Order: sequence, then C-alpha cells, then structure tokens
Amino acid sequence: MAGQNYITSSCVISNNAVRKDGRELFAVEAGNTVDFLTEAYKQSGINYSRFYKMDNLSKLGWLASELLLQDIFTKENYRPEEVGVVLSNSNASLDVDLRYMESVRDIASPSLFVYTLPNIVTGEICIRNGFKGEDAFFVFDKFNASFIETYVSNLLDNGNLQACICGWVDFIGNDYKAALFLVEKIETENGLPFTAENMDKLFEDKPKEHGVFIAGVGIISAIGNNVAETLASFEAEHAGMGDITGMDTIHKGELPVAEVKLSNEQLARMTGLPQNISRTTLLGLVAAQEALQDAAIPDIDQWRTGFVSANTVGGMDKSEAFFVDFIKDNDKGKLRNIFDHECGSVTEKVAKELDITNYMTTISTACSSSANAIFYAARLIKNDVLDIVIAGGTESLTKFTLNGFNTLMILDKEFCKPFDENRHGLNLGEGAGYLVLVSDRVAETLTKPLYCKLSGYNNSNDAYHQTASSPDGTGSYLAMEKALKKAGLSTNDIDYINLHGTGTPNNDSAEGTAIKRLFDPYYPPMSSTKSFTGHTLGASGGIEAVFSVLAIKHGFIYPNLRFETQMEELPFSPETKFSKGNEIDHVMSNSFGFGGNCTSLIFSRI
Amino acid sequence: MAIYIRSSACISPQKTFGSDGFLNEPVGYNATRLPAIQPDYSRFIDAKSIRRMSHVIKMGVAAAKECLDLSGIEMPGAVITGTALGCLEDTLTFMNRMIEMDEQMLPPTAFIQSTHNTVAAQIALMLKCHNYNNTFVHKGISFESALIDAIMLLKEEEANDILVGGVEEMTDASYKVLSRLGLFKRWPLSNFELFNTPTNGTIGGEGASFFVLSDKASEGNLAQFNGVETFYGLRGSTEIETKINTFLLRHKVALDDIDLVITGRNGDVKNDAVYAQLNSSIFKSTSLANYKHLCGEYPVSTSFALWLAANILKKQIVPEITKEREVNTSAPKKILIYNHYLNTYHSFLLISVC
Repeated sequence: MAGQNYITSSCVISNNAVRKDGRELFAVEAGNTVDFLTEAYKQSGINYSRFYKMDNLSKLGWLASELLLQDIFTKENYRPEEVGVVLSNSNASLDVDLRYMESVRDIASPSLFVYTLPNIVTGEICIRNGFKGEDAFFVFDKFNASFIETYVSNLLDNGNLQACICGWVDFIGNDYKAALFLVEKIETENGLPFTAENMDKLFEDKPKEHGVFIAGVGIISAIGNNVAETLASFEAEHAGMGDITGMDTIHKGELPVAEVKLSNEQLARMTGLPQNISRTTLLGLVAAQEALQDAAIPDIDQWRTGFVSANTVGGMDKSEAFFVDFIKDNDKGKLRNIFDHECGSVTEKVAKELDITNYMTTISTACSSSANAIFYAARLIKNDVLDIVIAGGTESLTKFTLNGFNTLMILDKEFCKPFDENRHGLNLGEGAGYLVLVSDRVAETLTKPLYCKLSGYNNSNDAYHQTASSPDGTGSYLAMEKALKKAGLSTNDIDYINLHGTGTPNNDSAEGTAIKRLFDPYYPPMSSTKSFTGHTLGASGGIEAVFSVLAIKHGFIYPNLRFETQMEELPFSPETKFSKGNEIDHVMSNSFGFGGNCTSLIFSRI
Repeated sequence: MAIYIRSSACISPQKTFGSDGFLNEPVGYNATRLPAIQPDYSRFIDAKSIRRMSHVIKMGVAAAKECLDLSGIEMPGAVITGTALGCLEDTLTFMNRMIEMDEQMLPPTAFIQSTHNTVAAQIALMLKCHNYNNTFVHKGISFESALIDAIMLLKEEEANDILVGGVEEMTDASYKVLSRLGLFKRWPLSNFELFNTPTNGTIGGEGASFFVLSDKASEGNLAQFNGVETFYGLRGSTEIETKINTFLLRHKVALDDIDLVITGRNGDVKNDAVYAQLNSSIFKSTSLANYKHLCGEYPVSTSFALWLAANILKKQIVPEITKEREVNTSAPKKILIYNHYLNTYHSFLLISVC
C-alpha cells in the first residue's frame, strides 16, 4: 500500500515577492518583470552564470526550484533516477515564441529558438541538479491542482519516483507566477499532506498586505485644544457641553452644544491663519499640525505625503453670513465669505499650510465622513500611491446644522445620555481629529514608537432610510462584522468599543441591536465619548479614532457620562468610570451617518 | 489587472441620455449657462420621490440606474460618487428658510437631502445595496478621487462591478455667485462659438455621468480603463508636459500611440493658455477634441469627457462637433483626457479599446 506523500517545501514567486512555505522570503523593487528576475536572482545569493543565458520562463522556474530546495532538500538521499520534475502553465513558451518571431524578421536567433519549448524549464532544473527521473510539462487554462496531485501521486506511489518537484511556472509579457512544491515520502516538521487543496492554498497565498501604522495624533474638541488637555478632561470626567456662545441663534440658552473653548481670533493666532476664514479650517489646521508634529517624521520631504480630510458642510459658518445679504439682493454678500463654501476648500487650505501637494481629497458621507477618510488613506498607502497620509476630519458648529438637526427633533435640551434607556437625543459639538498614517517603509525610519496599526475597516450601507437607521442595525452590523473579518479577528478579541452612540433613541437602539447580534454573549467594555465631545459630525470619526489609538497606547477605557438606566432591549450597558492601565490590544470605533453610511475601524496593538 | 468600463450613462445639456445618436445633433444654446436636458424621470423614479427629490438627486439616480441597466448588473459591488458642491439646491432652500423664518418652524426635508452623500445614498436605498458607499467632494478632482477609490477596490479584490459617477447641479444662486466671481462670460453666446470667443470667462454647465467599472472582460465593454492621476497647483506647460510623459510612461504607452487627446478647453483665455501651449508642443501632431462647449464647465466635467471617450472607442466614431482639428481619428485605440479646473486641479485619464 502506498504511504502518505508530503509537501516538504513550497516556493511561490509572484507580485514582486518570493515566498517560501507561505512566508515572505524577500520582496524586490523593480520596474518591470525582467528586472525583477535579475534582482531576485541577485538577492537569492545563488551563483549560477548559466542563469543569464536562460529565457524568462526558465529563469523563473529555475530560480523558484533553487529556493524551493535550499536548506531542505538533501540530494544525497536519492538516486538521480528517483527525482522527477512535473510542471505546468497556461502560456507554454509563448513569451519566448513571440520574441523569437520578432528576431526572425532580421536574423533568426538560435539562442532564442532553443527556448521555444516550455519543457526547457524542466530541463534546466534537471541539468542543475542532475535529476534523471520522469520529467513532464502540461498546459492548462489555469493551475490544475487535482491533476498534478493524481499524476505525481501515481509516480510516487508506484515507486517510479521517491521525490518530485511539481507545480506551475508561467511567464508572459509582464505577468508571471511560479508555484513549486517539493513532494517527498517523508513527514517533516513543516510538511503538509500532498493534496490538491493544500497546493491550491499555497498557490493562492496572497501577497502579505503591507501594514499601515499610526505614527501621530492630533485633536481639538470641546474637552481640550490638544491631546494632553483632552486626556486630562477624560481623567477628570469633565464634559465639554455648555450654552451656545459662538453663534448668533435663537437657540442660545435652549440647546446645549460642545464648543471648542477658543475664539476664531485665538485659533487664528495659534495657526497663523487669518481670523476671517472658516472656523472649520482653523480647527482642522490646529489638529492636523499637532498630529504631524507628534509623528516627528525625519526628512518628510523624501516621501509621498497626502492629506485626506472630511467635513460635512465646508465653510458653512461663513456661507451663512454671505447668504443673509445675498438673499435680499443677489449682488450683495461679501464674496470672500463664500470662497470656502465647498468642503474641498477647507481641505485645500489646511493642506497648503501643511505643505502637502502630492495628493489631497475630501470625503463627505455625513457622520461617517472622517472614518472613511482614515481608511481611504490607509488604502492609498497599501496600494503604494502614498507613503504618509494625514487623515481625519474637521467640523465647526453652524446655524445650518444646528437648525437642521433641530428640525429632525433629535437634539437633547439637556446634556446627552448615550445608550441610556431615557436618552432624548444628541448634542452637537465641534472639533477636529487627525491621524498620521505611515507605510512600513516609513515606520522603519521613525525613532519615536508607533501608536498602533489600523488592522480592520469596512464601509457598509444600511440602505433603509435617508436619515433613520434600520431597527436591526443592518448597516452597523455589516460594518462591524466585515471590519473584524478584514482584521482577521473575532468579537472576543475586541477589548473596547468606541460607540457611535449619538444619544438619539434611533441610533443607539440600532447600534445596540447590531452589537447584540454580533457580540452576544461576550460584550467588551464600550462607551460613547460623545458624552464628552458632543456629536462633531464630519469630525467625529477622526476624533474618536484619536481616542481609540490613545486607548491602546495608554490602556484607557473612557466613561460614558451620565449613564443611569440600562436600555431595556439590550443585555449590556456602557462603562461609566474612567480607567487606565487596561490591557487593550484591539479597539473598534464605530461611525454611522445619514444616507445609511456605516463605517467601523479596528486599531490593533503592534 | 485589466479594468474595463462596462457601461456608461450620461445626463448633460446634450442628447446623451437614452439616445441612439452620438452627438450627431448637437444642441445649441445662446447662453452663458447650459442646463442639463432632463429625461422622463418616471422611468427611473416613483412619482412621490420625483416630487421630493432635487435636480441633482434626480439626475444622479436616473443616470446611475440607466448605467446599471446597460451593464446588466443588478447589484453593484460599490457605489461611489464625486460632487464638488453636492446638493446645492436643498442646501440653499434650507438656508433661505432658516434666514427668512428666523430659525423657526423649518421643514426637515431640504436639510435631510442637503448632505453631499445624498445621491450615493439614494442609489443604495433604491437598490437595497448594502455594499461600500462613498462620496468625494474635492473641487475639480471629486470625480477622479471616486475613480481612484473604485480602482483600488478592484485591485484589492474587495468589490467588482463598481458604480462610479460624477454629479453636479448649477442652481440660480450658484450661477450668480460664480458669475460674480468672474467664472463666466459676461454676455450670452452660442456654445458652438465658445472656442472662437477668446475672452475672459467660460460657460457654466452641469450633469451626471455614471460608469460601471469591472475587472471582467466582456463583449459589451465600452473600453479598457488604463489609469487616472491628479495633481495640484498652478503649473507651467513644461511641467505639465513632463507630468504627461511620466504618466504615459507609467502606463507603458508612447505619446505616438495616443490617437486622440481630449482637453478641457473652456473658452476662457487664461484657462486655455496651457492647452494652446501643449497643442503646439507635445500634442503638435496629435488629433485633438474638446467637450466643454457641449456640457459647459463644472467641477466634475471629466465624467462627461470619460463618457465621450468611452463611446468614441466603442463606436469608433469621433463626433464631428468635438473635433478641435482634423488629423487622423479614423480608428481610435487610445485616448488621453487632460483637464484642469481653474488651473489648480489637473487630471489625466487614459483609456483604450478593449
């Protein structure tokens, strides 16, 4: 009876990286695939001058076989006739055929002609190692693991071979992939049973996603003008709400708001910007500057740096002043008050002050805006568009939003009580929060320790109603579930949830229901920091991302102020006391908005 | 990874929507502002919603639905929009009422519909689409930012068949404000004479263009989407030349391989100076086309240009009305779009035949 066969080694070369046994051996920076092969050969440290004579397909296959056998294969254990090579691909030798065709126009190149057969690559491997067992080459539409399993198992089981290199090696134009498996009859420590399923898994092994790290944070809100002041307010459990002072509105004294405790004049002095521009811009620059200074990236000019910011109504505070005159007479209204009406204008002004011109953009998805900005930024880094991105959001209080939320009857006349059975709505707030996200390459150059990484994120839509959340929190559920999946975590791994928790009956009920559906029966500590800062709309995702990052760094769990009565429909209640020194590895931050836009982010300790 | 434009639908001041023709009966205006031709919305939106929805929402939702119908895709893997000014009409309605009624007794509908993500949200709502949903609002690169997002999603294999679009409305108030800022010409003119009137200012426009981007080859695909790039700041023509060359190099295309360049000329002397310089340097022997005399100037006008380019490649026709000068446009294979918005936001888009 045939014994079990094992994959004792695997080597996959694709996407500019070489992976052995599922782990990255090395990655190569190269402009094109031919350069990649040469660079990979050099990096492998193997010396075999014949390499330079080979065609691309042979180079790829030969290199993969060398790395496959390195440190694991003992040639002396086998007679030459006992080792075979069985390879396959979809383009045969088309790459070199085309080159040969091209050469025929002038003078046919014999050195190219000899490679116009795909099985030359198996020959090159056999020549190098002196293998004399069966060699074969098959052409399939795509990698056919079950065929290879059957074919090679037969050769091994009936004793024709004792070991076999098998798999896939394909090269055409700029596309290439090699996935070789060493199959032997011996069980090794890292060996896997020789099955089609295991080969498929190793074949598909996606390149490891590059990490995105948080290198700096900056914040301004009703509870502090920077990180230090913010943390002091948390520790003192001191909320930022109060009477309206900054806006001329009939709701003054009636609706509490969470204002930043600095006038435009003071903000202008801090930032060096003129004081007659939008408060949204002023707040944004304060927090973005703090974040960038905190990250302290040496030689920042050598990197591609971007700015991705969010807000919901641009420079609406100034537009309001414009329209008071404009609606009476369309030729009136100071034009400079309308310059920054566009959301993008706020971003542009802050980016200019930060000296960022490589890339900037603005996201506006209501109250999830800046959470989306943060994860779009992370993806710009993962997709190698940028190396560093300052991302988050900014929002100032305006009469427009105050009256808008008031018409929806979701503003609490008292300080808000998120996740309380007797909650009556939200308090609006203002502020800005930004993270500095960096690639792993940038991270290596930093002297300051990183805060954590962004490990998971998802944007899902509730698709239920323009403003209301669905009763079962479909969108929130999907966002949290898929963010966990993206991070490769389960609900048990989450140590703290920074809730969206606006304090409206509808939001907290939907979000709570979604958490119940997803987390039951284990509930991590959670709280809504909007009980301190109010709901800062387009800035809230950024501000709460800063809180989440600091929670990991300092082991904080923030309290949910004013909580008294557990919601009847939920089996859990939020944290009510500030604590530090907790062991916090993973934090989930929720941001849900009008238009059904639901986004969850997960930050993880490095 | 190859990315394809599977379908496209465009509502514009021209007969671009639900029409068999391809700009063969260009619509002339004697104006400084071109309004979008509104289709019969009842085909796409129920009567109650038509009454409630503002102009931009209706345009966006109808173009999105038509685009999906044309693609044969029922449920897009993501919905992404770009709009610089968003739902202006609702914003100003609410603003006016707030001022006139002194913050009292305000109806909520206009506020609810004023958020910039309303179009994308309404599309999700109509389709019951729970997938990725995002809205970019960055001036002259709002649409390009949405495209970059869509391309990343495809490359990450996070989603396929992505619905991406650019929407913008011109309201009386925004037209007035932008006029006061000097964006438009001071006297009405024929839009067909836009490029023969080298004075200050352009003509305003609006519209909604949607696309389904897919990584699957399919016979119905309009074109292959090769790349998009944006950059910021006032730049001289030599710097832009370098940027174009680098962009093409990155996509392994030589300038000689470009069969048609569509530029964002808009009739404003200052705005068009850079195009004129390029036309006599790197685009000297390239076939050229223009589009803003057809749709007007607006921050996401490149979505109109992309609709135009994709259809040129599919139909293998360069509409007469778009030709800036005749060189050779008989069998176009690759099209480069270069646009700048107020000389601050620049973008390149490259597409080719499938």
